[in-house]
Amino acid sequence: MPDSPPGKLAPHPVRAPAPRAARLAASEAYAELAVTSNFSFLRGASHPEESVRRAAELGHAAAAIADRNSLAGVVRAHLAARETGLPLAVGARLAFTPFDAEATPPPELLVFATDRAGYGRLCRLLTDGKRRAEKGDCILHAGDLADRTAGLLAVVLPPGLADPGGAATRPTAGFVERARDVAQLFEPGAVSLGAALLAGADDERLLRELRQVGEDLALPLCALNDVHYHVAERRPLQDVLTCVRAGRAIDEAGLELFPNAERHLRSPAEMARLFRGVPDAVRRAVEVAERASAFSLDDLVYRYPAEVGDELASAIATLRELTWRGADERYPRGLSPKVRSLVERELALVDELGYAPFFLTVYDIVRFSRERRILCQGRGAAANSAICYCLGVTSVDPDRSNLLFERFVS
Amino acid sequence: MQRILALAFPHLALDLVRRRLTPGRTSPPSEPVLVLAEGVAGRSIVRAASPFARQLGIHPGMAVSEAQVLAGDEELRVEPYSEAERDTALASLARWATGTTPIVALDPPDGLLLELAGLERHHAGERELARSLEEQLRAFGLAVRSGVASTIGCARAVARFAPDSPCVVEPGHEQAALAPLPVECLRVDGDTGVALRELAVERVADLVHLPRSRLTSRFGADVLLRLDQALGRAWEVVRPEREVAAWEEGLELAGPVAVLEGVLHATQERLARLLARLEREGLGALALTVEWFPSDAEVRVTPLELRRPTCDGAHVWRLLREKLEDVCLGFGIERIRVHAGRVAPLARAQAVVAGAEVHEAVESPSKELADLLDRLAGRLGEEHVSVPRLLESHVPERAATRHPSADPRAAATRVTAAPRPTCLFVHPERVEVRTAEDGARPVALRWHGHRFEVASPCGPERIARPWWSGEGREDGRRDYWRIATRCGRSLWIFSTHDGKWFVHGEWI
Repeated sequence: MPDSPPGKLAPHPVRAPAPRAARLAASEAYAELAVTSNFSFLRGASHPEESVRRAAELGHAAAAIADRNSLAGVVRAHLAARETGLPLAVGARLAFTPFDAEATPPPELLVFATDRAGYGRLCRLLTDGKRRAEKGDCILHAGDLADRTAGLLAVVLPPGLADPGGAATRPTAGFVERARDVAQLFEPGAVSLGAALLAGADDERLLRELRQVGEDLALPLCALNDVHYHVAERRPLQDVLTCVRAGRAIDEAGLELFPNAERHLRSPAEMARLFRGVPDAVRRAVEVAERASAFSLDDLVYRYPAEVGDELASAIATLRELTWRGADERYPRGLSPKVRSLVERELALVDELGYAPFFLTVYDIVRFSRERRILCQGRGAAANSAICYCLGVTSVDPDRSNLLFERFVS
Repeated sequence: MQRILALAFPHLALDLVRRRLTPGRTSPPSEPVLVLAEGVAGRSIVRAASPFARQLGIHPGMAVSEAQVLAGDEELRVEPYSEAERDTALASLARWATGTTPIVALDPPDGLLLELAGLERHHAGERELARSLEEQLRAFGLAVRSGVASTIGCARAVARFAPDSPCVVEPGHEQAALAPLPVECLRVDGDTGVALRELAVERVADLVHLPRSRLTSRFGADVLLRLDQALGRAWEVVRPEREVAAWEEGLELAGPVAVLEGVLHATQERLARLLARLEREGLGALALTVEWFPSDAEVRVTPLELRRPTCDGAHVWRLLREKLEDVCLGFGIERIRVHAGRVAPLARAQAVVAGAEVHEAVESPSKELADLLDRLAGRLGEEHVSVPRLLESHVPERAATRHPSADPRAAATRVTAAPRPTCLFVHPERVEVRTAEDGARPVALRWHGHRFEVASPCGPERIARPWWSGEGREDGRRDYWRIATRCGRSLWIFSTHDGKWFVHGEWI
């Protein structure tokens, strides 16, 4: 058996909560909201962490992730955002299926969560959509949003973003109607109208028309770049993915491919220049990103059901007490230095990892079983814990065997 | 009741080489010692030897060096042996033989089988037919032997091994004809032949007298099968190389006709009959072949491809006549054959009934276009007539292409919605452009020495070059601008990443 490992030198990367990232001032001009990562299968060509790091390099105010009908990439984005210190807007890009072969399907939406409850609603929405469909697919209807939009921000995407062949598609009356219906499902002030200027056939006219639509619907414009890859050099890969998705060879894919390599993360200066006619759109993008970054995945701690105390702190205190009491029972002649140090080290680790409620639950179960004379035995990796021995969960004496607590923890 | 005529060319490869070496197609008076050799595992092995060489003891299978020794003082001429050449020659001989009968099969490596049953020149004329064929083939410079019998096995056996040629075996006399011949004539493979000889079974007569069950157990089923096939107890048919076409009309002329007009007239009449037959079935021809069989030369084949199934005699004849007029008749044409290789159901146009009269069927525009394309292609050549088609592509110059007009590929289903000029230049032309302060927006341009002021530029529309064809790097992109000049022209210009400007098209 190897020697007992030294004490932990660094906090556990996942379990130990990290400090909340500092907010950058609003003078940092831009945050990209429409970020598609490779977790939008066969559409995005960059990893979430690549996009987040690139956004940090460019000096964006915040990063975002919004995959198509999926939240699969948020964890990686979250880790990268924490590493770079950038706030992250967590969301999804909802693509709806019309009920029947209507002329205009509902517009795609970017939906971001602003709090834990909103995130839960978004998850529930996606779950319902995926349950209805074949594996890998998601069927969402605009009506699913009804009553489920509290705590969510939305950006209505302009038509034709997803259809490169019709990249010059301009908003039609049908689009305006559908956008109005969808916007009414959200809280006031939560919806914006997205605008992306991707060097299409007539960007000036497109922008003019979107401004008009925004005024008609009383929605502020929000600047986007429909990012599918973090740098323009990734475009060939994105083209290949499109070919795989469409089932065509690269020289036959034709209008399935995007016509240019503009769908990358742009610097704030570039975005300011592109939207110089509508600077409010850029500011709105930053505002939405900041509101959305109020929610972080770190908020999703495991809320242990109320145990012997409501807070984590009292759980560990209870565990300590129970452990030392049990140790006295197990070692009537007193603990050897070895066992004492082992128990202390384990308790420190349990405290750091927040596992105290778990041990308490196990202790409860064992106690309940023993009272009723139900045979109960701690097995397997649990036998590596001195705490468990003291609590009476296992019967492997740390004094006599070398225990490796890390084995239990892993 | 089948009657098979078997032709055997014992020295086919050698005769071909000799024809090539000596001008004129008669057999040479005195030939050198000629062998055909093939390189096998580094050595040259003799594959065929001329009769004079055989007299000197040179035979196939020995090394060329050995043959050199045997030749002694005579000059030994070694030519390469080409199986491909021999097979090609055999195939063209088979085609020639279809002038006599349509059912011709190859009997590799050096023979042909002709099915004579059903020919007008029949029974009593079999010997004459065989003899005349032999004469014609000898005139080509080929050594040939022939035999006629009721089974394939017997016919080819007597063709190769009977003492004189042609040898005609009456029905029922196969066993008598085969009895004195060596047992190899029965198409058994070499090992079996050796095994049979070891048992002193040298002639077919010896083989026939052996008990049948012993034959099978001793030598395998093959020997018995071949014997039965030769004697007519097992069925074997001639599988013709070319299928007997259903859609054909043929005509035998009484003698060779060397007058072009006469032959054309006869061909047109046959064509009309064929098309009438097709029309009755509701079919139209897509590919036609006209074959003229001259009496002394190779078949003249004239093919014709059509774009739509048609049975319009006038249209087809117009196209065919142009091609047929150039055909060389040689000494005269003896036989004409018109054959439709591909047929398809006719697209019928509905007759219009109006009032009390029945109008002619309305010709659909596509029919007229197809007829025009046929005529143009016939006059200019297939490769010179092409049709523009739309393709799906962002890159403007790749969004349309020219296809050969006969290509049935469908056009693109989607076209880009962005505005494109009505006239796109094949090669973009270099222009000088003065831009506004931001460096991008064009303000004035100079093209062909003329100066244009830009009134309202619209753009930029960025179209990236396709990276997969090797020509575009990531910055290989063009920013297109739609500009209207003060003098009223609308141009489509673009700038490349290194700041050069070109004009690519114009709205006329």
